[in-house]
Amino acid sequence: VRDRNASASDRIYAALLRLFPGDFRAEFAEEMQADFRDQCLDADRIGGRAAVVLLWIRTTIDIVHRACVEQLDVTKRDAVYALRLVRRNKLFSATAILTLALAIGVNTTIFSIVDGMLFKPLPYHEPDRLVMLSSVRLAGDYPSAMVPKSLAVAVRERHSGLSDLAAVFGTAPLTLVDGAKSTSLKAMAATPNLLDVLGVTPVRGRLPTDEDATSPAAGALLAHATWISNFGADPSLIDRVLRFEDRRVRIVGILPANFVFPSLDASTADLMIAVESPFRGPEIWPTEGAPAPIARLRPNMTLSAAQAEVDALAANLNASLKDWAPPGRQRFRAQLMELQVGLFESRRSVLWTLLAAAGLVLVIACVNLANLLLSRTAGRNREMAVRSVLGASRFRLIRQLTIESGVLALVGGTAGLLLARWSFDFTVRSVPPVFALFLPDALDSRALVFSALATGVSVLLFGAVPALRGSQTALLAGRHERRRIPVLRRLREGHVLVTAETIIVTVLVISAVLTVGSFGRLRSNSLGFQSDNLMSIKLTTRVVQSARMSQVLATVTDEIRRLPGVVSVAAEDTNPIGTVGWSSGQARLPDGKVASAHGVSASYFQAMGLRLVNGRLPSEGEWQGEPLAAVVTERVALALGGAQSALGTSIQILRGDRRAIVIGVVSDIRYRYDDVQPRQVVFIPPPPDRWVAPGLLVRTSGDQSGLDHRIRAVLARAMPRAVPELSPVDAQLARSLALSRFQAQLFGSFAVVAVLLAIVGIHGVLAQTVAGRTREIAIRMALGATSRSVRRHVVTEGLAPVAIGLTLGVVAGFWTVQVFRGYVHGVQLRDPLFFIVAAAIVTAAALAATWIPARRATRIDPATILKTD
Amino acid sequence: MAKVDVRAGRSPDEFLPLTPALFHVLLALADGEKHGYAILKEVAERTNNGVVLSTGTLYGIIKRLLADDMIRRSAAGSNERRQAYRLTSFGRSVALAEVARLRDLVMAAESKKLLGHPSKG
Repeated sequence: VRDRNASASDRIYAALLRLFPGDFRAEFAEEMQADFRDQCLDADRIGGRAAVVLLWIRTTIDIVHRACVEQLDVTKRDAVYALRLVRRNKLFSATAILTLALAIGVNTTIFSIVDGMLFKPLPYHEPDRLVMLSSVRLAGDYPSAMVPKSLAVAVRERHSGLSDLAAVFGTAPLTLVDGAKSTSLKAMAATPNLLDVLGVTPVRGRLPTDEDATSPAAGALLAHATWISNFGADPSLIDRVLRFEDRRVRIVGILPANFVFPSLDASTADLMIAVESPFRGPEIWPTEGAPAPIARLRPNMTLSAAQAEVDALAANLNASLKDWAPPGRQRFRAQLMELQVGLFESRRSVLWTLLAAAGLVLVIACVNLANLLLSRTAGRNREMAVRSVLGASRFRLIRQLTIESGVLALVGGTAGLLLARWSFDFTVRSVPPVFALFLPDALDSRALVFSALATGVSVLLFGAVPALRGSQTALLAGRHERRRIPVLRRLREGHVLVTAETIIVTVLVISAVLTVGSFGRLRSNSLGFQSDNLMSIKLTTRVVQSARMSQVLATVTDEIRRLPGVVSVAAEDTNPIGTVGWSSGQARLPDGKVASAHGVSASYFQAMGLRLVNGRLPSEGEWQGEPLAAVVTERVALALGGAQSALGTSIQILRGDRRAIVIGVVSDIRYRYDDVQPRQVVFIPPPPDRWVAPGLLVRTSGDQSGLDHRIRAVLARAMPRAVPELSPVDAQLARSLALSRFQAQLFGSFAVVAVLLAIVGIHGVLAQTVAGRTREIAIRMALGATSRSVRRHVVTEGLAPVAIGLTLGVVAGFWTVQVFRGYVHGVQLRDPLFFIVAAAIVTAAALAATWIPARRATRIDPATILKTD
Repeated sequence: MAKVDVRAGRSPDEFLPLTPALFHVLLALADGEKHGYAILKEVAERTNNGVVLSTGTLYGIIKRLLADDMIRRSAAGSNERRQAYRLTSFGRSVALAEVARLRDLVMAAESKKLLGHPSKG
C-alpha cells in the first residue's frame, strides 16, 4: 500500500511540476521529485498522515506560486528578446508596425463613429427597454417616421406591456424677444412625458406635465448649454415665462448637461416645448398619421410579446388599418423595435458596410503580417533548430514566436490608437447630418477596448500560422531530419496569400470607384442655375402679417439691390434649395401629374441665373398683372408638349384654384446635387397670402466683405423682430453632397490604404520568391536568358496569383455592390466602367509591386552565384 | 571545460539585500557542498522549523544562484539522482556582504538604544 501511495504521490507531484516552464523542468524536475519523496517519508515518520497532508498543501501552494513567477520570468525574457529583434530589424519592424497601425487606426476611427448608432447603449435609463413603434414598408426596406394614429391610440389605451407613449415632433426656429434684442433659438416639440419615458430627470426644476402642454404659456425644458450661454446659468429662470415673438413659454426645468434628444433633427435643440400627446384621441391630432411613438417595455415584457400584442390590436382595428398605407404610398406594417434600431434603421446598412470595409483593411493587414512573419521565421530556421536542440520544447518555441508577434502588435496597436485619435477628429468633421447623432466628442474607453480587441484578434490571425510553422521547422531540424519545408509549398502559400489579398483589395477598390464615381457624377450634375456668388436669406419671422409681407419684401428687395456689390435680388415664398421633396404649392399638368408651384418675384430668374430656353422672362408689370403668368422648366414644358407648344398653355394652380398662362421656358433645375432627375417646377407670382417661409436671394458681384452686415441692417429696419439666416447657396448645396462625399472619402481612403498594403504584401512575397530562386535564375541566365526575359518571367509569375485574385474579386465585387443600393446615386451599380477602372488600378498596383523584385532578379550575376555554390 | 566566472567584476553589493530564504540557502552551503534535500533539512533544523522551504521555492532560488554564479554544481558530490551544489567564491562574498549589511543594521539599532544595551563610547 505504501508503495502504491508513493507512486501515486510521485505522479501527482510530477503533474504539478508541469506548471513550470519546460527548461526549468528539464533542469530540476528529477531532483525536485527525489527531494519531495524524501520530504514525504520524513513527514510520515515524524508526524504521520497529518504531517504528510500538511506538506502536500504547503508544497502545492508553493509550486503554483513559483511556477507563475518562473513563467513570468520566461515571458519577460522573451519580450526583451523580441524587443531587441524589433530594434535590430528596423525595416521589417517598421513595415509590420506601420501596417498594423494603419489598419487599427482605420478600424478604431470607424468604430468610434458608428458605435453610438449601432452598439453603445443610448444615454437613457435602461435603454434596452426603450422601444419605438414604426411603420415598416411591407414591400420595401425602411421604416417611416409616421404611424396610423388610430393604432397608436389603441396601443396607448390597451397595450398591457408598454408605458405611456411619448413622441418627438419637428423643430422650428423661435425668435426670443428681449427688449431691443432678438435671439433665435431652435425649439423642438415633444409630448410632456418624453423625459419620463426616457428615464431622465432635469438637473433643475421639474418635468413638464399635461397641464403644461395645454397652458397658454406652454411648459418647456431648456438645454443645459443654452441655459449657460444664453441665460448665464440664471437659477431664477425656472418658472419664468419667456416671450417669443408669437408665443409664450414657461421654462419648467433645465435638462442635464449631456442630454441628447432621441431625434436626428432635434438633437441640437435649445429647448423642448411640451405639446399635447397625439395619442390621446382623434380630437387632438386631426391627421391620420402620428409621429412614431417611443415607449418603455414594462418589466417582464419581451419585445416579441409586445409586438404580438401590437399585431392583435392592429388586427382588431378596421381592415384598412391592418395594412395601413398613407395616401399614395405603399402598405406598411406597424413594428416595435428597440429605440436604437428604430432611430437608425434606414441607415444601419451603411454603417455596417463602413465597419465591414474597415474590417477588410484589417484582414489585408493581417495577411501581410502573417506573410512577413512567415518569411522571417523561415529565415530563422537555424536559430529555432539550435534552440530546439538545446532543449526548448515546441510549446516554448511557439510561445516565443507568439510573444514576438505580441510585442509587434502592442507597438502597432498603440501606434494605431494614436493614429485613430488624429483621424477621428478629422473624420468626425465630415460626418453628414444623417449620421450626426450620439457621436462621441473624442475617442472614448470603448474605442480603447475595441482597438485592443482588434489587435488581439489580429495577433491570433497573423501570429498563429508563423508560430506553428516556425516551431515545426525547428523540431524537424532539431531531430536532425534534413527535411525542410519545400520551396514549392512556401511558394504556394505566398500565392494563396497574394490571391486572397487581391480579392479583398479588388472589392474595396470597386467600392471606392463606385462611391467616388457617384460623388463625382453628382458633383457634376447640372443644377441649371449659377450657385456661386449667390446668397440665400431665410426670414424666420411670423410677426409680419402675410398681407403686409409682399409690401415689406418689395421694400427690402429694393433697398438691398441698391447696396454696393449686389447684382440682383429676388424674393421667394420658400427656399427649396437643399431640401428633399420640397413643395410650397402645387400645379396640375395636363397629363394629370403634379408639379411644384414656386412663388417668386419677377427678378428671380435673373438672380438665379436661369437660362431662358423659349418665350420670354416676365417684366415687373406683367408679373403683377392679370392674367396670371407662369414660367416653367423644360421638364414641365415636355409634359406640355415641348418647349415650343408649351407657350400659351394654361396650367391649373391648385392652391386658390387659379389658372396661369405659360410665357417662358427656362432650363431644368436641381435643388440638390443628388436630385437624380431635375425637378418639375412652375414659377408663378407669389399669391399674397402664401408667404410660407419667406426668403430672399441675393446675387453679388463676388466681393462680399461687409455686405452681410449691411443687409442685416436693412432687414433690421424693415422687420425689427426677424432673425435672418444668411448663408451662401454653395454651402447649402454642399450639404446635399455630404453623405455622398462622406462615403467617397471613407471608401476612397480604405482603398488607398488597402492598395498600399497590397503593394507591400505582393512585393514581399515576390521578393522572397526571387531570393529563394537565385540559383535557378542564375542558371537560366548562364544558359543565355536575357535580363528582359528573366524580368518578364518574374513579373508573370508575380502577376499570376494577382490575376486569379482580380478575377475572383471582380466577381465578388459584382455581388458586393448591391449593399450600396439606395445609398449611391446617379450611377449604375454595375456600370462596367467602374469594374474596368478598379481592375486597372489593382493591376497597376500589382505591376508596381512586382517591378522591384523583377529588377533585382536581373541583377543576379550567374558567375558569382554558381561559383559560391 | 572550466567555467569562466562571468560575474567577475560585478560587485556583491548589487545583489543586496538578499531575501531571507536565499540567504539561508547560501548559509546552508557555507560549510560545504550539499544536495537540495540536505539544504531543506539544514535550514529547517537551524531555524527550528522557523523557515521551512518547499521544493518549488528552493529550486527557484537554486536556479537564480546558478544563473548569477553564486553556486555551482559539484561533480564530486553528485550521483545519478542527486546533484550537489557548492558555494563559489563570488557567492561567498555576496553572503559576507549580506552579513556585513545585517551587522551594520544591528549596530545602528544598538546605537539608537533600541536594543536596551547602549554601546559604551
